[in-house]
Amino acid sequence: MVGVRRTKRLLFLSAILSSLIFIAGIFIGYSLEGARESEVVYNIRQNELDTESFILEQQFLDELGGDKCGILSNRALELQPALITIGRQLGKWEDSDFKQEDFDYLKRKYFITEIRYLMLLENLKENCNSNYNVILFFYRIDDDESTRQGYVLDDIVTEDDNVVVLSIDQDYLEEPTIDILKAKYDIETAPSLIINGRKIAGFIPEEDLKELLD
Amino acid sequence: MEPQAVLLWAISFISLFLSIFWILLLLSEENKFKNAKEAKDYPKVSIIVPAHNEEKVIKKTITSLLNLNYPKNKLQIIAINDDSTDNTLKRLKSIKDRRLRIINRHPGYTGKAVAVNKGMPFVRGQLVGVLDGDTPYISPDSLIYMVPHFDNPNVGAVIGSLKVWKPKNILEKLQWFEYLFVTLTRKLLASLSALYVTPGGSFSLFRKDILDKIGYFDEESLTEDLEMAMRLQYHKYDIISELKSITQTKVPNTFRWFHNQRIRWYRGWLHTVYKYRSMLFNREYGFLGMFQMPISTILPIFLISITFIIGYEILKTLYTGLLLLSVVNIKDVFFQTLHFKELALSVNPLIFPMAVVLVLGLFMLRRAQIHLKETWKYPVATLGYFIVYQIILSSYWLVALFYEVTRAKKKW
Repeated sequence: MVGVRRTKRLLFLSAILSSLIFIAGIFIGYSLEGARESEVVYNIRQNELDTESFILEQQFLDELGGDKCGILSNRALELQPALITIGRQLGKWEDSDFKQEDFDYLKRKYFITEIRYLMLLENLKENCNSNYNVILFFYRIDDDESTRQGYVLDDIVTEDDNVVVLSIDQDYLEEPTIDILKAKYDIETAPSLIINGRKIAGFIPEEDLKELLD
Repeated sequence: MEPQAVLLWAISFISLFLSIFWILLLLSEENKFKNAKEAKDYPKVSIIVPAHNEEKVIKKTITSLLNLNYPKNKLQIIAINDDSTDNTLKRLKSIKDRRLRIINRHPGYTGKAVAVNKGMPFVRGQLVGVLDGDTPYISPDSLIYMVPHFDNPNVGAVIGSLKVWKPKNILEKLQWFEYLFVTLTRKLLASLSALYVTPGGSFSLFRKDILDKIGYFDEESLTEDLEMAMRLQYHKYDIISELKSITQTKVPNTFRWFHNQRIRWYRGWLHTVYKYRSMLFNREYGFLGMFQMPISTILPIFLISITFIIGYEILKTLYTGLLLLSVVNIKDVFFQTLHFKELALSVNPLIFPMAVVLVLGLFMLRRAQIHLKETWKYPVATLGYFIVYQIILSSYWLVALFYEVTRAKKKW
């Protein structure tokens, strides 16, 4: 028979050991989260630099002349894949319990980058008659129709190089520009799409969507 | 953090804590498992064998009892034919041995306790054993190993170890693992004076004068073996586990039978805890009252909630998958979900402590196999035991809880 004192000692020892293992587990969780974060941060920085360089290029060509539209139209589309990756990474983070402040910061930064990118594209379309399709995708988190629409758009982007999708969280209140956009297009339902300036409220299947593109 | 995440973390921590505790206890105790006590004398032993429709195995059960290595004039077998509608009685009568006494009971099947109590007036031994009729194997030296424990006057009961008789289908194999595990856990519980079951399947031996004092089996209980052990604990008698006495019992091989058995067990346990609730958090009852009883009572709630959380996650994943499939074709889905780096980075950190729990569980299983002289087998069922089986068990807890709360009619 094991005596009372030894039982207590065993229980105490188990408590210490399990706490240690658990703390190690939490530590691993944090480092994974850290790795994930630096991945997103890296992508956003890279994207920021690209956008910056793009704007510089635009100003440069404005000043010195040259085939402005030919160069810029092709370069603009190169920014798109990075934005998609960042969006997806942030989406996965949404479910996590770690580092919420960092997440909020990066999410806002992501939206700002998107809006800047949108302005660039509009500018190009106006001045250079570029023919790509810009889709603004207003979604809601945890909304099934939005999720479905997201899948459809993912599919279209991978198939068609001339389509640019910018996804915007409709309920995100931190960034005033989103409110301006929402007001401009009078967005109320989720999902809502703005395709080349035209508004479509509610889910739209892939086939119908393709018909609306140039 | 969401409440379900908090719950999941709490459950993982408790599982980890419990596994480490059992492993530490095992490591510090297992060198004593081999010790055998020498018998001072051989008291007379009576063994009651209740049998309800056991024509296939009853003869094997009785024969292996008659073959026990024990002085011939000190052994009495009392077989109770408990309202069998098959040839159990005929099989019993075909055994010719003066040590065997057959008792016939008719008025409807009302559970094992009634049958065993019916045999009590015929008991001539100082020690009385109970062995279920569907337990066709008992190791020949069982009594030689078990009887010496009664030299200590405070010992009220000794139980042997229990294995599954010839597992064939997957359900039986899953139970084969479970019984190895459970037998080792019982041994460890006994070393903490906290053993709370004296199962009829695994051959339990009781001191007759103690039973005369505290009463025979509770005929109202669905699990009279559990109730009896708790009663012994309540009266502060010791219950010992003897690994070297080995029995093999038939286990349910259909889900219907398995379902009925588990519901009966779990309802019986809930009922027994309620009956002896004064022992809960009672210092007088040491580890059993302060730790084991509360844990075993809370455990079902944990099991149920973990099943729900995991089930919810699975459903959610399936649902997202369906949403995806409803808009795009399968080929695209495959390529869209294949982002290995993102997948690796999004691993839930709870995987780590849970992996430790799994490794400790496998270690415990291995030790159980060694102590019970079994080899490593059934690799598929091993995996099933650690994952699927636990989910099945917890769903039975839920049903049992429901029955107990709605006071559904008892079924033996």
